[in-house]
Amino acid sequence: MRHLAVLIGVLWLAGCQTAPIAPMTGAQGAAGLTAEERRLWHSAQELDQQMVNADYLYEDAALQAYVAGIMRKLYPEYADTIRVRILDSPSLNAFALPNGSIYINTGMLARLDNEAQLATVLAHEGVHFTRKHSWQQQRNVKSSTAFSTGFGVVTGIPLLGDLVAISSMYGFSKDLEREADVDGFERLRAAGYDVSQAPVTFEYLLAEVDALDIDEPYFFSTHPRLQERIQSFSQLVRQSGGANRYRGEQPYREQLEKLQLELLQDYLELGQYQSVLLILERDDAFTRYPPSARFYLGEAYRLRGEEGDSERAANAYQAALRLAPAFAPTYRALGLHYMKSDRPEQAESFFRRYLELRPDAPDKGYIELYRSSLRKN
Amino acid sequence: MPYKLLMMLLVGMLAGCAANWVRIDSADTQYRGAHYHVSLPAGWVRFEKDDTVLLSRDGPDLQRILIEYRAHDKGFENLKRTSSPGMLPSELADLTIAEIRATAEQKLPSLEVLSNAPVEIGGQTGFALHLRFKTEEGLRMELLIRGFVDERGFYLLTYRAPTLHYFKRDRPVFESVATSFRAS
Repeated sequence: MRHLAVLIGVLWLAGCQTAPIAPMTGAQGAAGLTAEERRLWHSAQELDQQMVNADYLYEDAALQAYVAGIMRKLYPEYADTIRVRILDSPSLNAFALPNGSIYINTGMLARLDNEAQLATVLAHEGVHFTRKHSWQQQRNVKSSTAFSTGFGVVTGIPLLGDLVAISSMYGFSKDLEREADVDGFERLRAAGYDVSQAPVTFEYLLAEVDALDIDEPYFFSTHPRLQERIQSFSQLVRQSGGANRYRGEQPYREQLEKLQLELLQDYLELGQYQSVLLILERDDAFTRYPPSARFYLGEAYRLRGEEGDSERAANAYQAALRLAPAFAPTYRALGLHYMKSDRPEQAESFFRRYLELRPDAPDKGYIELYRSSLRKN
Repeated sequence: MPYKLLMMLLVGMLAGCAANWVRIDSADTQYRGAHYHVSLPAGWVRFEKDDTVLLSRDGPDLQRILIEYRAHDKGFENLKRTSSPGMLPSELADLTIAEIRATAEQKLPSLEVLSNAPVEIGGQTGFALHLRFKTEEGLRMELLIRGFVDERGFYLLTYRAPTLHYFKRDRPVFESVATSFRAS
C-alpha cells in the first residue's frame, strides 16, 4: 500500500497546523480546501486508483447501487462527493478516506443482517469524512515519537506507514470516534432507520471477533473499540427513545444472498472454517441462507477435522443433497468422503453424478484420477 | 513458510549477501540436497538455504523458481495447518492456494486459477497449478506450482514471473527443472 504510506506521510507533514478545521460542506469537493488538504485529497485519489489497478474492488453493479443508495439516504447533500466502494476482502473492515471515498469490505457486508445495520456503519464512516477526522487526528498528535513507537510495535510496519494507516483504517482517537457515533446516529435517525439496530451491529461483530479470536489490527476487528461503540450507541438509543422504524431485512437479504454464498466459499478457500461455522451454526442460519449452504457447513466440519467432524460433515452433505439435489459440489464432497471411508461403490456413484452435473468441472482431472484409482482397488 | 523464507532470502540478498548468489555453471547443474535432487538451469543464479533453492536469471522480480521441501508439521504455516502423507493431490492444491492468499495483502482477490490438475512429479502423483494475479501496481503475474507429499514431507516447486514477456519466455526452464525433480 505505497499510496497509503504517502497519504499518511502527507498527514504527518501537515500535523503541526493549529488553525481550526472547518467541516466539509456538501458540494465542496476539493475546492475551498487548503493546499495541504488538497494534497491529502489527491493522495487519497491515488489510493482509490491503486485499488482499481490491483482488482481489489468487488464487481457487482446491483449491490454497488444498493449500498450507494443507502449512503445517499444518509448523506443526501454529499451525493456528489461521497462514494462508497466495496472491497473484495473477507476481513472485518470499513474505512473512510479524506476525499470522500468510503470503503466497506465484502467480509463486513456479509456478516450484517439488515440495511439498518449497514447504514450504522456507513453513517459512522461518513462522519470521518465530513468532519475531516484525518486532519484532526494529525493535529492531536503531540509527540510523534511516542505515537509512532506505540503503534509501530503493534502493527510492525514502518513509521510513516503507521501514521497513515492508523488514521485511515485503524481508527481515530476516542473523541473523534465518539463524534462519529453521535453524528452518525443522528444521520441514521433522520434517514428513518431503526436505531435500535445500531448497537446490535457492533454486538454482532464483537461476538464474531471474540469467537474467532480475530487479531487483525483493523478498527472493526478490535475488541475494545467495538465495546466502546456498543456502549456509545446503546446510550444514544436510550436517549432517543429507540423508535422502531425501518430495518430493511428483506432487501438486504436479496441483495446480499449471492455475496454471502461467495464469502462462505471464500472462507473455505482461505482455510477459515471457523467463520463458516460461526455463521452457519446460528439457529436462524438457514432462514437466511439457501439449502445448498449446508454443503459449506459440511466442508467447514471436514476442514476442522475434530473428533466426530467426519460424521457431522457427512450429515450436512446429506442434508444438502436432500434439500438441493442439483447442487453439484455436494456430490463431489460425498465422493471424497466415501473414498476416504473405504466405500468405493458409493464414492464412484457420487463422483459419477458430480461429473454428470458438471461435465466441465475445473477439477475433473482429479475426479477422473480418483475414479480410476477406485476401479483399480 | 515459503513466503517468509522467500522474504528472508530476498532481504538477505538486498542486505549485502550477494556473494551467496552463485552462478550455475554448465558443468555443475546438479543440486543434491537432504531431501531431493534436481537439475538447475545453466547460466542462471541460485541461492540456497536449508534445502530450499531460489533460482533466477534476471532477478527475482522478473522471474524466480523456488524449490522447497517442508516437513509435514510445517506444511502450511500461514494457515496453521500441517500436511500429511495421505493427503489427496486436490486437497494439497486447495491448501496451497489458500496459503498463498493467506500471505497476501487483502487476501489477493485478483487471484485466478487458470488450471488445477493432477500431475506426475518424479514418479509421485501430485498437483499442477497455473495461477494469475495482479500486483498492487497493476502488473499481471503468473505462477506455476507443482507439489506432492510422501512419507517424509511436502515438496513444492514454484515458478513466478510477470505475464508480460517473462512468464512465457522462461516457462520451459521451469518445466525442465520440474521434470528433473526427484525426492531423495
